[in-house]
Amino acid sequence: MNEINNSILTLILLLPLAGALLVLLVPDRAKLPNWIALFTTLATFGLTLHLPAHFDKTQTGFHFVVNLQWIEKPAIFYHLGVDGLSLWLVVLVGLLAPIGVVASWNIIRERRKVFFALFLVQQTAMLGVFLSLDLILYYGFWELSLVPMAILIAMYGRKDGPRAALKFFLFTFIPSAPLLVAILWLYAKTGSFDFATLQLWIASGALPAGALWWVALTFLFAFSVKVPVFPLHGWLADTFSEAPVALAMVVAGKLGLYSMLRFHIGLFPAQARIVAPVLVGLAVVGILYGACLALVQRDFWRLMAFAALSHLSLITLGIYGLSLTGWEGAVYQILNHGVVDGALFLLLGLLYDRYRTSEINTYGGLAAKLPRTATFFVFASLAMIGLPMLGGFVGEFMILLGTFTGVSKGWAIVATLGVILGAAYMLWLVQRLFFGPESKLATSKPPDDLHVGQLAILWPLAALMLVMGLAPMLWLSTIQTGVHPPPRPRQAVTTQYPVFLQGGCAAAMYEAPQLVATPELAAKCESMEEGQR
Amino acid sequence: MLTAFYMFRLWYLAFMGTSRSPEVHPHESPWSMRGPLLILAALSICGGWIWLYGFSEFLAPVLGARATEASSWRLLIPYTQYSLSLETVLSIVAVLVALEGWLIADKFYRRKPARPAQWATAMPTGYKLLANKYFVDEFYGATVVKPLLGFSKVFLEWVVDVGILGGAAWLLGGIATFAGALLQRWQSGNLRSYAAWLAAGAAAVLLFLLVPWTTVLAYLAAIHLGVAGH
Amino acid sequence: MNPVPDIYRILPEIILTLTGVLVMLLDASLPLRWARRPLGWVAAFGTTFALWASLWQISLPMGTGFSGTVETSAFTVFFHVLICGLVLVALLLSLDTLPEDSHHQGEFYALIVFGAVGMCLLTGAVELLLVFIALEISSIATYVLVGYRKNTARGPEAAIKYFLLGSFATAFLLYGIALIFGATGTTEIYEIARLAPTAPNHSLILAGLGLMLVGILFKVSAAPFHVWTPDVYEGAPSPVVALISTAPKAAAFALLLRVVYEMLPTLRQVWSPLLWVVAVLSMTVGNLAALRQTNVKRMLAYSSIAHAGYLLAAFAGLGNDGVMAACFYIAAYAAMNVGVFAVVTLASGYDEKLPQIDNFRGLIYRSPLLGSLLIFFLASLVGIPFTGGFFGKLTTFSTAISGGAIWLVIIGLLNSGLAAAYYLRLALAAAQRPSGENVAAFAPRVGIAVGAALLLAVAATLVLGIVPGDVLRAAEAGAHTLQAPPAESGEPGNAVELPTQP
Repeated sequence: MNEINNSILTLILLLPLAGALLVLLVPDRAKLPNWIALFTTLATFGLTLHLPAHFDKTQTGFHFVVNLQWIEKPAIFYHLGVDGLSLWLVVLVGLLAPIGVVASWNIIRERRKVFFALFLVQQTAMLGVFLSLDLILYYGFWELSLVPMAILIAMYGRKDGPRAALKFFLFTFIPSAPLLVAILWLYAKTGSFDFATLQLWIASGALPAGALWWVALTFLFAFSVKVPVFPLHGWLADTFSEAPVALAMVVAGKLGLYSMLRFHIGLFPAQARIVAPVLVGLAVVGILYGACLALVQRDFWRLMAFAALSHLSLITLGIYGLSLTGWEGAVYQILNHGVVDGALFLLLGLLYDRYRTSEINTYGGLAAKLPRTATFFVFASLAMIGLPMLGGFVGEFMILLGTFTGVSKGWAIVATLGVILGAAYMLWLVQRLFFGPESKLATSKPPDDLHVGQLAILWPLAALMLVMGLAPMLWLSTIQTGVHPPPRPRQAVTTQYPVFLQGGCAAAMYEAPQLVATPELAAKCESMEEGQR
Repeated sequence: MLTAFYMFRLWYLAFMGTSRSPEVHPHESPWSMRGPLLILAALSICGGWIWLYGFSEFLAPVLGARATEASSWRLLIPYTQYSLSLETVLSIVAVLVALEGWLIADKFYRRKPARPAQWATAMPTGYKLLANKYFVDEFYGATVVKPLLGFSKVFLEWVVDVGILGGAAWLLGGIATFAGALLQRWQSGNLRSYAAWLAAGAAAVLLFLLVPWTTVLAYLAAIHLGVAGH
Repeated sequence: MNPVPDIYRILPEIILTLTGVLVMLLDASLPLRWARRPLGWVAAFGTTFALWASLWQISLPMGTGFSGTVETSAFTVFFHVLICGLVLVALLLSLDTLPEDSHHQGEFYALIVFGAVGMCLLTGAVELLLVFIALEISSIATYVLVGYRKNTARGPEAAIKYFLLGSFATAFLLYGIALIFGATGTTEIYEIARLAPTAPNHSLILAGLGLMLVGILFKVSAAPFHVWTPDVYEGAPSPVVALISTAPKAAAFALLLRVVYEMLPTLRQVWSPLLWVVAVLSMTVGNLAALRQTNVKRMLAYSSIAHAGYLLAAFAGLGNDGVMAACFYIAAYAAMNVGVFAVVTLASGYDEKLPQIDNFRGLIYRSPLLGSLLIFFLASLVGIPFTGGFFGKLTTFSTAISGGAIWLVIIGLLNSGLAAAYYLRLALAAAQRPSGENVAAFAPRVGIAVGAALLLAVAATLVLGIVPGDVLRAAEAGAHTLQAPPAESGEPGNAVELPTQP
C-alpha cells in the first residue's frame, strides 16, 4: 500500500504520456487511437480516485509527496504532492479527460493519432500543474499545457484556427515571461525553487519588500490572463469558438484559479492582501460584463465564452474575498463549473457537429427531435445557473456569503445581480435552441439523439451535479483541510498579530493559514517569532 | 387564494372541457419533460415538509463552514425560531383559502363557462389590463430588457470589447510589426551598405571602449555646474 | 615535461583532416559515372570516429601541446563533441537531400569536413595566431559551401557577400590580435591574461579587445554585425545553413568565452556592459525583424540572431556560472536549430521551390512525421519546457539574474514572448488544414540518413530538455577548466544587484 502511495502521483502523471506514445505507435485504423485514449484516460481517472480514497483528512499539509532531485544546478526538484486544495482538482482533470475523448469520438475524423496523442500530453501538463510543488516544475507544466492546445486549435479550428491559436498562445505566453523572471529572481535570492522553502523565505521578511511586491504582481498578472480576469479575456471568445470541444472545456479557469490560490495568495499573503480590493472590483465588473455580453451573443460558443468569464469572475471574487468560506466555495465552484461545462460542451459539440452552425437563431424547436439532448442540456443549464439542490448553488452561495460577510455587502449584491443575469442568458439560450417554433435546421436532418456512449457519460455527470448539490460535505470536508488553519498556531498568531501588513510569519499564518502551512512551517514560524522576541 | 384560482383556471382550460384546437392532436409529453416534471412534483410535495427534517442543519455546511458564520446565517433567516403551533395554524388557514380559490375557479370555468366573457365585456379596461398582465412585461421590456441588450451590444461589445480591449491588443501587435518593417528596410541587400554598417558598428564598439565615459560624464557635469554657478 | 604526445592533443583534427583528404582524393580518382554518394558515408564515418576521439581525449590530463598552442580540457572536449555531432548531422542531412546528378558532391563533403577541422581547432587553440588560422580554415570552407548552388542567382551572391564581409570582419580580428601583441608582447592567451592587468599601455589592450570582439561578434551574427545573415542563409543550400548556423557559431562562442573569461577577465567591467548592449540589440532586432518575414529561411536567420542575443545574456553571469550557462545554451541552440533546418530542407526541397511560410501550410496533414517534428523544434526554439530550448534559457537567464542583470533578463524574456509570435506562425501554418492547391503539394520522404540526422537532433533536444543533468555537469567541468575567476558572490540569499548598464 505504501509503495502505491509513494508512486501514485508519478503514475498519474506518466500514464497519459505513456498513452500518448502508444497512440503514436499504433496504426490509425478502426478507431484504435480513440480506444487507447479512452482506456488511458479511464485508467488515469481510476488512479486519481485513489487519492481521495486514501487521503488522510486528519492531517494537514501535503500528501503522497514525492521529492527527488532532478537537476543539481540550478537546484530543481521533482517534487509532487496534493493537499485539500488540489486533491479534487486532480480528480476533476481525471474525470474530464474521458469526457473529452467521448466528445471527440466522432467529431475528430482526420489525423486522429496526432489529436489523441496531443490530447493526452495536455492531460499530463494539466495534472502536472496541480501536482507540482517545485516552481520550475510547475512552470514547466504550465507552459507545456499551452502547446497541445494551440496546435489542436490550429489543426481543428472551425473557421480561422491558426489566428485563434496564435491569439491564445501569445496572450498566455507573454505574461508568463515576467513570471519566469520573478521565479528566477526568487531563486537568485534564496537558492531554492521549492514551494515551502520559498514560503518560509517570503514570510521571514528577509527579502526586499519593494522587489517582492513586483514579483507578486507578475505572478498575479500571469494567472489573471490565464483565468481570465476582466479585462484580460481577449483570447477567450475566439478560443472557445475555434477549439475542439474536448479542449474548450478545460481551457479556461481551473489552472489559473488554482495558481492564484496556491502560488499567489499562498506565497505572497501580505502582497495579495493589498491587491485584493482591486481584484474584487475587477471580478465583480467581470461578472456583470460577462453576463451582459453573453446576453447579446449570436453564436453559442461565444455565449459560452462570456458565460465562462462571468462564472470565473465569480470564483475570482471568492478567492480574493480572502475569507475561508469564499476559498472553500471557490474550490467547490471550480469543481462544479468543470463538471457542468463538460456536460454543456459535450452537448453543444454534438449539436455543432450535426448541424454545422453555432448561430443560435438558426436553431429552435429541437426539443421534439432530440428530447434526450434537450433534457440533459436543460439540466446542466439549471446546474450552471445555480438552482438549489444542484451543484452550482452550493459554490455560488458560499462565495456570495463569503463576500457578503467578509468583504462588502455592496459588492455581494452587485455580484448577485450578475448571477441573476446568468439565469437570463442561459434560459434564453435554452429557449432559442430547443423550444419555440421548429426551425428549418431542425427539420433538415433526421433526428439522431444521444447514443449509448454519450448517455453513459451524461447520466453520471447529471447524477454528480445532483449529488454535488445535495451532499456538498463529501467534497468540502477534504477541501477544508487545505484551506482551514491548523488550530494552534493560528490562534496564537491572531491574538498576537492583528496587523498582518507588516509582513513576516504572522502575515503568512494569518492571511493564508493553510494554503500555506505545513505543520513544520508553523513550527518554524513560531520558533522564528520567539527568536525575535 | 388567487394562486389557487389561476392555477385551477389553467387546469380547467387546458385539460377539461371541450377542445378549442381541433387541428392539433395532443400527445403525452416525452421523457425529457416527464422526468423533470416528476422530480418537480416530488420535490414540491417534499418541499412542504422539509423544514421538519432540519433542513437548516442539512445545509449548514454549505452556508457556513465556520461556527462564527453559522450564527450570521441564523440572522439572515430567522424563521427557524418560530414555534411549530403557529406554523400549523398558518398552514391550515392557507389550505382553506386555497380551497376557496379552487371553488371559485370551478364555478367560472367548469360550471358557468360563459360568465368570464360577460365580465370581460362589462369591464373592458380592467380585463385588458389583466389580460396583458398589467403590461408589466412590456414595461420591463421597455425599461430593462431593451436598454440592457442595447447597452451590452453597443457599448460593452462594440465599444469596450472590440474597440478598446481589442484595439489595445491590435495596437501592441501593430507597434511590433511596424518596428519589424522598419528593421527590414535596414536589410537593403547592398553589400556596400552592409560593410558600412559593419564599420559603423566597429566604430561604436571602439568609442564605447576607448572613451573614458565616467571621466567624460563627470567633466560634462562639472561644466554644467560651472555654467549654472555663474 | 609533457608526458602526453603532442599528437594526442589534436587527434580529432587529424582524423578529420585525413578523412577530408581521403574524400577529396577518392572524388578525384573515381570514374566520373560512379555515384559520389558513398563519399558522404565515408565522411560521416570519419566524423563519427573524430567524435569518438574527442570523447577519448577526456581521459588525457588537461594541458597544452605544440609549444603551448593547443589545449585539451573538458572545455575543448565539450565543444569538439558538439561540433563533430553537428557536422555529422549536417553530413547525414546532405546525403539524402543533395541531388543525385550534382557533380561536386565529393568536394561538398570534403569541404564540410575541412570546415570542421577549423572549427575544432578554434575551440582548442590557446594562441592567437592559431586562433586566426583556425578561423580562416573554417571560414573559407563555409564561404565555398554557401555558394554551392552555382546555377542559381542567389547562391553566388550570398557567397560573395559572405566572403567579402567575412574577410572584412576577420581583418578586424587580426588587427585586434596585433594590437594586443603590441601591448603585451605575446600571443599566448595565458600569458596575455597574466600580463594584461599590469601592461603599460592599457588603451591599446582595450582597442585590441574591441576589434577582436567585432570580428567574433560578426561570426556569431550578433547585432549590429548581423546584416549578412539573412541574405547568406537565404542563398545557401539548406543543409549548409543547418551547418553554418550552428557549428561555426559554437566555435566562435567558444573563442568569445576564451577571450573574455580567460584572456581578459580583469576587464570585466568593460566587456560586460558592451556585451549587455549587444545582447539586447541582437535579441530585439532579430525578433522584431523576423515578425514580418514570409520566407522561412530568412525568418530563421533572424531567429538565429535573436538566439545569439539570448546566449550573450549568459555573459552577464559571474565566473564559472556564466561559462557553464553559455556552453549549455550553445548545445541546446545547436541541437534544435540543426533540427529545424533539417526539417525545412526536407519540406522545401533542395532547390527550394517552396520557401514561403504559406507553402508549409498543412504539412502535418501531408506528412505527420515532418509536421510534428517541425512543431517540436519550433516549440524548443520558443523555449517550451521539457525541450532543450527551455533549459538553455533557464540556465542562461538564471545566471544573468544572479549576476545582477535583471533588466537584461526582463528584456530577454519579453523578447522570447515576442519571438513566439513568428515561430508559432510557422508552426500553426504547418498544423492548419491544407487548402486546395496545397493538398497536391508533394509529401517529402524521409530516407535513412536523414532519418538518422533527425533522430539525433530530436534525441539531443529531448535529452537537453528532460535530463539535462549530465550535459550541465559537462558544461560545468568545461567552465572550471577555463580558469575563470571565482564567482564574486555566489551565496544564495545575499547576491548583490550590480547595475550592469553603463
